[in-house]
Amino acid sequence: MSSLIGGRRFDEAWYAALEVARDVTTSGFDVVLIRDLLGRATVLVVDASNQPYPVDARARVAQKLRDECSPFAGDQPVLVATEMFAAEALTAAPDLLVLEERGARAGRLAVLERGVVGREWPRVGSHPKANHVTLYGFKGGVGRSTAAVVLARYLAAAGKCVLLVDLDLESPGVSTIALDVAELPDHGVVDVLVESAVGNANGLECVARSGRLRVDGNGEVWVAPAAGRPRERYSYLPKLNRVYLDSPDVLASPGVEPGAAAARSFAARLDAAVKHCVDLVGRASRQPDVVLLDSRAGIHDVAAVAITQLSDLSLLFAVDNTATWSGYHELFQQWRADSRLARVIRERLRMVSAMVPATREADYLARFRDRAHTIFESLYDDEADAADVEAFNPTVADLDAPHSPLPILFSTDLVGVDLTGGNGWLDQEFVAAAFGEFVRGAADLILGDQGGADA
Amino acid sequence: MRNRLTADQYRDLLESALPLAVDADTTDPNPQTLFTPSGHRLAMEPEVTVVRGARGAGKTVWFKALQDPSLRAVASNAYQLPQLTRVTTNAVFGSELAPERYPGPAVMASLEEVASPAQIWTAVLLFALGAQEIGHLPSWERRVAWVRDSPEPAELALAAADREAGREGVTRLLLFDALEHLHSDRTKTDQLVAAILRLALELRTRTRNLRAKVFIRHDMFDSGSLRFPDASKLLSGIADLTWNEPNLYGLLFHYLGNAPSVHAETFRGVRPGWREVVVEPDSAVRRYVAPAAVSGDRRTQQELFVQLAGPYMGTDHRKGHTYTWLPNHLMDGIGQVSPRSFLAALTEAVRMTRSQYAGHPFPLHYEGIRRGVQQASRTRVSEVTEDLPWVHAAIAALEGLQVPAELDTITDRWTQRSLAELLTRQAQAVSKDPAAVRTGPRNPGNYRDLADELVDVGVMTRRLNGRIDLPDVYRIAFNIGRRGGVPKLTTTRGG
Repeated sequence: MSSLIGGRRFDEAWYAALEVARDVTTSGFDVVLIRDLLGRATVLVVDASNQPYPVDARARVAQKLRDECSPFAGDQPVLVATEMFAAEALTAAPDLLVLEERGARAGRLAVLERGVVGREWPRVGSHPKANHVTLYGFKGGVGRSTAAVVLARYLAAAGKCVLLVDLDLESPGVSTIALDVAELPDHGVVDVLVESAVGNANGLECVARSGRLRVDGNGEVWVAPAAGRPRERYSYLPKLNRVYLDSPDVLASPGVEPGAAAARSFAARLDAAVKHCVDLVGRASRQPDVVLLDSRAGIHDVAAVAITQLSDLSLLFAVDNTATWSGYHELFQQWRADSRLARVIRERLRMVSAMVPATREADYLARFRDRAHTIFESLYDDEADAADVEAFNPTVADLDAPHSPLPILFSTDLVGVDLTGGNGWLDQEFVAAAFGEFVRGAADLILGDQGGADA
Repeated sequence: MRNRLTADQYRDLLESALPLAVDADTTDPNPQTLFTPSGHRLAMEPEVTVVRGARGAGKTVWFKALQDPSLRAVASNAYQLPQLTRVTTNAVFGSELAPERYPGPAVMASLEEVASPAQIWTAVLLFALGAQEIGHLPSWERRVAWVRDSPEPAELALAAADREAGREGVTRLLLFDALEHLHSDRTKTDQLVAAILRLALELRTRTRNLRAKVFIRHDMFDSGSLRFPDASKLLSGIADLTWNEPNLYGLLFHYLGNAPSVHAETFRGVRPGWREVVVEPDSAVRRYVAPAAVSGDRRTQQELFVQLAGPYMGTDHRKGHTYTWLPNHLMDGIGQVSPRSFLAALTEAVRMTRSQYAGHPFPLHYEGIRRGVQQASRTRVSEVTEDLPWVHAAIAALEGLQVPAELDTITDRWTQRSLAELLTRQAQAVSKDPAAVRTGPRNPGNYRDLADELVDVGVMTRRLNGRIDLPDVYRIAFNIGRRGGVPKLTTTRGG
C-alpha cells in the first residue's frame, strides 16, 4: 500500500516520532530525539547502568518508530546511552534543544538536529557583543546593504569609528558600495573563514578604510569586504564552497584532535573572523565603536550565527508581503520552541520597514506594524492577567517595541543611482529624506546617550 | 545661575499641580488653568461650525470657556483671535439640565410628537436669540408648535436677530455640546444631530452674524451627517480637537508653571520666557504663559521632561524614551490620548515614586510611569463611561479573555452574558432619570454591529487578520490579558 501512496512525509514522520519519544519519557527516562541529515529519527534513551532500559521495551519502541515514521525512521531507531561510546556528545550537545524539562514522573524530552542548515538559530548566545549590529532581511533585494552603508556613514559623522563587515558572501553588496576597487585589501572575510578552519588566519589583512565614506571630524568607516582585491591566482568560489562546512564528520576526520571540533565549528569561525577584523581596525586605527554585520538573506547559518550569537541588536528588514512574513514566522518558531531563548532574543530585535511608499507612509506603516505584531506575538509573553506589569507584551501600536519598524522610504531617485560611483549620492537630499528616520532610530538603539553630535 | 529643583521639590510641585487637573471634569475651567493647545486654535474661530473631538478631548471645556468673557479673553489673547472679543455666546444645548434655556431629554422625547427635529431646533435657537415672538410662550411644546405653525414669521425672526447682531457689531455664537444627552435611542439622536448640522449650515449660508458651533464626537458627526445630504458643505468649517505629544506636555508644563506651590516660580525659571498675564484688572489671579518652545517644541519639552523622568524607560536606551513612551502607551484605537488620562498617569507616577523609589535621582521613576498607565486606564474608562455607559457593560463582559481574539470569541462571551438584555435594562433604567440619559449603541441586539461601533469610538481595534484587539488604556482596567507565545516563568510541561 505504501508503495502506491508513499510513506509518511517528512513533517508527519517527525511529529509521530516526537509522540513516540514523549511516550518513552513517561517511563521516567530522559530521551534525546535525533534527526539526521536525511531527516530520519532516532530515539536515544538516556538510561543508567543501575537502571538500564529494558530490552523488550527497546524492541517495542523500535517497531513503533518504524511503523509510524518510515521511511523517516533511523537505521537503528533506538539507541541506549549505556551501550554507546561517549553518549554525552549527544546527550549534552551544545545545540540540544530541550522541549520538556524533567518532571515528577516523566523524563526530559530533547531534540538534536543533525541538519545542514538552520541549526544555529536556536543557539542564542547569552553574552553578545555590545554595539555589534546585524542587518538582516529574510528576503533580499530590499536595500539592506545600501542602508548599512548609509548608517555607517551617519555613525561616522557622529564621530564614531565604524566597521562594516560584508557577510553576504553569495552576493557581496557593502564591499562594492563602500570601497573603491583600488581600496580593496588583499583578502576578505571568506579568506579568514577558510584559513581559520585550519588554524592559519594569523596575519591575514582583510579590512580597508573607506575613502568614499570619509567624514569631517573624528569618525571613520572601515570595511571588511567578502573577497579581497581581484587578481591572478586569487579565487573565490572554491573558498565559498568550503566556508560553511562544519559537519562533525568532516571535523572528526583523522588528524583533527577531539575537542577541536567545537572551536572550528562554523559559528566559532565566524565569530573569530569578525573579531579578527575588529582587531585589525584596532591596530590600524582605533577600536571600532560600532560593528555592522551585513548578513545574507534567507534562513542561512550566516544569518543565524550573526543574529543569535554575534550581535546584541539585529535590524530585521522586511517589505509588507506574505512571503516575507511567512519567512519570519518560520524563523521565530525556532526560538519559540524554547521560551528561554525567546525571552533573550526578542529584546535584541527590531524591524525595519524597507521601501515604504512615501505617498502613503502612515497607512503603510500601520499595516506593517499590525502584520509584524502578529508574527512577534509568538515571542511575547502570554499575559493572562492585565495587572501583570512585568510581562513583556507590547501592543501593536507601541512605537518602541521590536515589531515596530524603523522606516526607510522608497525613493525612485535611488533606483538609477550608481552606488559604486563615489559618495556623491550619499549627500543627495532624497537620501536624507529616505533614510533619515531609519538612521536616527538605529543610531539611538545602538548608541543611546553616547550618540554625540546630531549629524 | 540656573534654577534647579531637587527631585523631592519637583514631586511636591507635581502633587500640587496635578490633582486639580485630574478632577477637571467636575471643576469648570478657570483663567489660570485653561490651557490653549496650538492645535485647538481653529476650533475657536467663529466661522468654524463643527468641532469634532473624542470624549475627554476638551469639547465641554471650550463650550464652557466660550461662554465666559474672561476665558474668551484668554483664548483670544493666546490664539491672536480678536474676533473672539466681538462675539456673544448662547448655549443652545449642553449637558447641564437647564429647561429655562433648552429642553432636556424628557421634554425632547415628548417634542418628537409635536414637530420635526428641524422645527425643534429652530425653536430652541430663536429662544436663545431672544426672539420676542417665542420668548413669551410658557413651554417648549408651545414654542416648538409656534415654529411648526408659523414658518414665515420664524424666518423673519431669525433675520431680525441677524440684523440686530449686525447693528451691535457682534457675532452671535450658538453653542451645542453633549449631544449624547439628547436621546437614549441612537437613531433618534442621529436625526436630532442631522437637524442641528443642517441648521448650522443654514446659519452660515443665510445669515451674516449668526454662527453655530457644534461640539460633537466623530462617530456622532459621521452617523448624523449620513442623514443630511448637504453635510459635505460643512467640511470646510470643521475643526478637530486632538492632543499630540507637544500639546500634552505643554499642558503638563502649564499646570506646573501655574501650580499653587512655591516651586512653581522656580520651575518657570528653568526655561525663562514665561509671561505673566493679568486676567482681570482688579483680580489677584495671575496666569503664566509658557514660552512657545515649552508649550510646543518637542526638543525643548523632551529636555524638560528628562529632568523629571530621566531619559529612558529603564536602565538603558533600548527601553524607549520617557517623553514618547507615555503618550504612546495611552493611545486609544484611533490614536488619541485623553489629557486627563495623561495627567492621571503622572499623578500615579509621583505617588508610586514617593512610596517605592524615594531615593531615585529623578522626580519620577520609570516603574512609576509604567504603573501610571494602570491608573490612567481606570481614569479613561470612567471618563468614557460618563458618555457611553454601554461601553463599560460591553467590555466588562470580556474580563479574563485575552486579546487579540477572534470576533466570535467576543460575541460568544456577549451571548453567554446576555449583553443585549443588559443594555436594554440599562437604557430603561436611565430613561427614568433625565440627567442620566445617554445615547445607547445603534443596534444593541447585533453583536457584530456592536463591535463595529466599539471600533468607531476607538475602544477596540480590528487587526488585519480580522481579530479584535484592545488598546492598553481600555484593556488594563478591565483585566483583559494579551496573548503571546511565551508562557510565564513557571515550571510547566508544554507540548
